[in-house]
Amino acid sequence: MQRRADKPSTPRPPRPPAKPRADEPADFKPSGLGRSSDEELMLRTQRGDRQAFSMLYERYSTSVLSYLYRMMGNLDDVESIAQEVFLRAFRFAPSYRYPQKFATWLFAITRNLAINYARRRKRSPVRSVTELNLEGVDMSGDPCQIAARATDSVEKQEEIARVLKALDDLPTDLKEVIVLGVFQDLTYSEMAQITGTKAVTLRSRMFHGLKRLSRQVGGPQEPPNPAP
Amino acid sequence: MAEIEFESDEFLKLLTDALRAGPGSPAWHQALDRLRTQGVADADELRLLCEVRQHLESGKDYRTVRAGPGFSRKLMAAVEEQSVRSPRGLPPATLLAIVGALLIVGVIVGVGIILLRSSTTRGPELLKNALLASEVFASDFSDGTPGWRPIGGRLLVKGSNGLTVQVPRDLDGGIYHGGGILADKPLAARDMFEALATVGVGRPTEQLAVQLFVTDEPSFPQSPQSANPRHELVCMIQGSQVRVGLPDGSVKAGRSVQPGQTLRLRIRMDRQFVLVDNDDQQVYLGRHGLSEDRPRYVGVRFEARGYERPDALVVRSVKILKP
Repeated sequence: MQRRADKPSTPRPPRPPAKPRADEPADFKPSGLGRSSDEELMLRTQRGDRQAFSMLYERYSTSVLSYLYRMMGNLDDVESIAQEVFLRAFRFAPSYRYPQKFATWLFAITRNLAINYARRRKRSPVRSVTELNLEGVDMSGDPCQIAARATDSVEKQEEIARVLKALDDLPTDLKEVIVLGVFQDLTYSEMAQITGTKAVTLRSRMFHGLKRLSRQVGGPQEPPNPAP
Repeated sequence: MAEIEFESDEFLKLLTDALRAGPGSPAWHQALDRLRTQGVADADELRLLCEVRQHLESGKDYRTVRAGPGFSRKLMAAVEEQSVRSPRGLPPATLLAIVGALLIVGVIVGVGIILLRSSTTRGPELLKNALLASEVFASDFSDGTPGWRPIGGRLLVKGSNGLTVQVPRDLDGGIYHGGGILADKPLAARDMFEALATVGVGRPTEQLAVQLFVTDEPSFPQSPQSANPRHELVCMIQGSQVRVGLPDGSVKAGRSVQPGQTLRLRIRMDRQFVLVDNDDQQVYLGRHGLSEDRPRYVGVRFEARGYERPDALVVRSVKILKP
């Protein structure tokens, strides 16, 4: 099984063993950016290293774009929100505190921006039309195509497609924990940091979210809108 | 299902770990083992959850989108532009907080300066316009000097139809000798008060002077003058002029004095400022230079450097008034 399927698999060595200060690694080598951890790259970004930021962008652009696509369900705003996410990450790099996990920090920005955009769209239904500069939309946006690639069993294909379609209809709080935990492979503790919700609540949401999806594959019917 | 169960129920915790981590993870294997081998309640329903989780794992590529070259180029151009526009500056919120803090400090400093200025300008004005009508002490020296204690050695003062001085005929004419009286009761430094003396001038002369003074030091050195110039504010008639002496040594000149005249010398004082006038003609208004904390004592002193008749200068009365 491939973990973190939508992230490039970049090898990350452990952090330098000896550190002069608790909040900063001992030294940076001028080369070998690809082997640096996300957090080390972020420290370099704080010092104005745009190459380090490009590396972070390469590592996380797919994660951020996919998260936004799954959460928002449409492509209208995904491009502009994702662009704003990385611009903010660069602009507010000084506010990042090493050794906080970079992924957690970045997804907190992403989530906040997505929530703000969603609120604004509610108030103003006029959408800005942008040129689509994304790849993989046609292939991955159709649940049936995804299911067909996953198995030869037609019955299973139907079940997978039904589950994926049902994901869109979940309440946002239940969908969010599945997208972050299952698709983005974040732990409950990391999700708690990003969402500001207690881990035990997130466990409950995961359980109830999957329970709702299970109705699509013949599970017990639940009364409508049971709050987890 | 209540939240608390997810915290306390060990199996539910394991199951939710497995549902998050997915097929292949250690938690997944453990959870399925327990579902198979142990009698877990609602096992069928929980197996169904695991089946859904497997479907999600199979569909993990669902809505995976990647940035195209156009998106990356556009973003990096914006980053470049941003780094040129604000080279590694502080976040706007931090800048806003700093500007806000500076503004608050500026306002506090401004208000402080205004208050300080107003206290230095308003203080004397308040003193000038205050109404002090409550008499706390008065003496016309008709029957001695009760409420006062004598100061000085060679000059003896006498209270009888006014306060007069007996100047010895053999007084050394080179220096001034002092003698007088000091009020027994002090006045609090924080309180505004007024000392008012009425002086009859028989013959203005440089040989003899009379002083109405306020001091913050009630003991006097064993010197001919019996005075503490650095601790006294003095309003005096010397020769043919009214003068004011401040603790810092400076002297302010007032009106001239005529023979046979009766003058009213007034010292009005608060914690910091003093107004001195004679017959309502201001001689000095400003900081008095005495301690702002130590109690004040009002006194009357004669200074002589040669013989003069007692009726040359007669203090007819002294009053102390408060608001």
